[in-house]
Amino acid sequence: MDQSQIVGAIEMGTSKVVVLVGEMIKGQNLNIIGIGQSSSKGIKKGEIVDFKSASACTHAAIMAAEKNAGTQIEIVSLAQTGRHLKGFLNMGSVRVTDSENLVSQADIDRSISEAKSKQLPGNRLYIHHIQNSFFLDGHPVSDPFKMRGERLEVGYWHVHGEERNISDAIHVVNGFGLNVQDMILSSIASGCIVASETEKENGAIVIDIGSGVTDYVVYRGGYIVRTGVIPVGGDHLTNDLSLGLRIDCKHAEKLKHKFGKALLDHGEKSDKIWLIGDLTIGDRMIKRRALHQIINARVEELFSMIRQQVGELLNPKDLAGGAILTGGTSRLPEIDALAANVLGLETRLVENPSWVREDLRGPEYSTALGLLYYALTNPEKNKVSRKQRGIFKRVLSALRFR
Amino acid sequence: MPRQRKKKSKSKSEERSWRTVLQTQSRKVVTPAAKKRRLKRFTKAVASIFCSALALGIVAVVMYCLSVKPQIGWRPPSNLIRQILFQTDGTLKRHWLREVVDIPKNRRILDVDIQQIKQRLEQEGQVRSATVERLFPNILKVSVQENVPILKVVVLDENKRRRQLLVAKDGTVYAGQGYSQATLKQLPYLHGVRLKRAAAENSKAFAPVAGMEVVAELLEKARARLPEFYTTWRLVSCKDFDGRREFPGAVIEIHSLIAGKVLFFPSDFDEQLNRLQYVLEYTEQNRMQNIEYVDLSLNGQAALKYAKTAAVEHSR
Repeated sequence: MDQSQIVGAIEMGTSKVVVLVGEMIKGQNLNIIGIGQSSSKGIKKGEIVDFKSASACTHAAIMAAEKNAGTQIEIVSLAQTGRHLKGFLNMGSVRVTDSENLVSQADIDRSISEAKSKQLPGNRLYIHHIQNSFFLDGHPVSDPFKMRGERLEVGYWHVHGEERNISDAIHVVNGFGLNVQDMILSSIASGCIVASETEKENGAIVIDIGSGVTDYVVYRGGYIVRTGVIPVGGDHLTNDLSLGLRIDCKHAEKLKHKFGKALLDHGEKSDKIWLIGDLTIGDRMIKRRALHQIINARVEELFSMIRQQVGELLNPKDLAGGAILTGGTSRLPEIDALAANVLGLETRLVENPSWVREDLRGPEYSTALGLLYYALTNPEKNKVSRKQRGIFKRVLSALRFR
Repeated sequence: MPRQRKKKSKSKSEERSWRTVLQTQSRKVVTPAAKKRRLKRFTKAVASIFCSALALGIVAVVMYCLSVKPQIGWRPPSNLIRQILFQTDGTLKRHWLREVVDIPKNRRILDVDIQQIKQRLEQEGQVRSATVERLFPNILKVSVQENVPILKVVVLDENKRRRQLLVAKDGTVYAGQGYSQATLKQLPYLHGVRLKRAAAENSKAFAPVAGMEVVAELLEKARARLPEFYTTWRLVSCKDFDGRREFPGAVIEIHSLIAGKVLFFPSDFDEQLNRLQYVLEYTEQNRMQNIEYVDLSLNGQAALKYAKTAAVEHSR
């Protein structure tokens, strides 16, 4: 009987679409067997604005990944991001029914049901219901079953998004002949791969700074307590440079990559740099400090927005694990230092795990890797998908036609 | 006490989940990449179905070949019959064979059932035994041994018309073909026997007459010992002979032209013929009257009756 599954992780970003193909063996091991990428079109800040263009670039990436892997994808995990995503905490509280105040499974189920009972407006759909810690008479407990107490509470962090955006993303994948098995928030996907269990237990914030948006996830006591999306990313830095220095986006992007830095250096007031730098007619010099000032302002603003959104959760006592930066824009030099200044937390830049092949260790692949990792560590969903494999697919698989 | 998880009913949050989005793989392909993939999958599916069908077909053929027991069939070359040879030791002619057995000319020699032909021929009363042989490559040979008639008998057929039949040595009663008038004239008539129909259903043939072997023995010895006298025999009566030699009072009665009736005991014909010969010689030598009656069935004696005179007992 075939015990391996081909999983496709699809991340549709503002600058690129990344598809990773992984082979999950017996639900325990994961081999990354293929990668496909394409420049993103029709996607802005994580939302599809042009369905046809988004489909074209996504399908091209999937096709490239399947060709690279030498097999066809069976199940798809899709990353979801965008301004439309919102989250809220809902507490479910019940009185323990047992006469001896022993918590039963029924009490737990009732409290969970209570926590999940919030209705959404008509145009919004739930993406995640993330369970937080139980509280028994105000004390946090991991498993209250058979514990003694009078009042049982549980918190759920719910993430929801606009139905149109979600269905557009799903239908882009459907158009290629695939069904979406699982949908995961980009921040959660990144968090599960870059943050260690210790960091999650101690409390940490993972910030994925992409091209169009910045996603973050806050861990405390091992639970996800907050997620968020800020519609600012690397493209904004480029845009700011383009406007501020009166140059086109192409050169702004090039300057950002070549000379960009998050922190200001007081010793570089008179430093100048060539705009193009290859003796092209029309080339001119630009002050390095101007470049850095623009970048610094935008990045500082970004982290300030995060601090504002996260609020009182953002304190070194609760987040002893500090801040972890990932995403393509996190390659910006000294961004970790700036983050530490603004957020007031120990900050580190991430590199993806050593078991990942070298070309995928860059921070821009954290989300896609996280999707695969999430598919591996969520066995319940995988079991369902295995049952759905029919005899014909198994035969084809055995014949190595798929 | 083990934890029991109740089956959860669908909550409102599950009803508004992203999983409620209907995922459809549209017939209309959106992008060239999707079209290419669909074509590739279709081609693979067709190829796999074809290969599966081919594999199943091969398995089915192999199983069929294994299940069919090989038969070593050997047939020599079979030609069309060019000639039918007919041989007989009697009087039957070739046209008789054609009337009795119809063998089409364009039959292959191996397609002819020779056993059937043999059985059909042996059903004819005139045929004592028949042999049918294949002389490869294309000749069929039919050999027949015929019955020899010893007597003739007159019967009434179903239309009440008289019909002459022949009686063979083994008692077979048959019509007879090919015999000359002279041969038939020489045969004595059989008298004193009630002919019965054969036991077979709807058979028009007669059952064999009992005792004809004994009569044939007498006729043969008489022909050999007294050939001139034998030619005067006109009738053989078996009214007192049912085939059992030792039956008390059993006699075979011969009616001749010159000796009237001659009675024979159904055995020891040699001795009786000796006595008869003596009587005939004595009568001729002494120019006596015609014999009306000779009874040779008496033990060691012969009773004689001449015409117009009383019977004279003669002891040797």
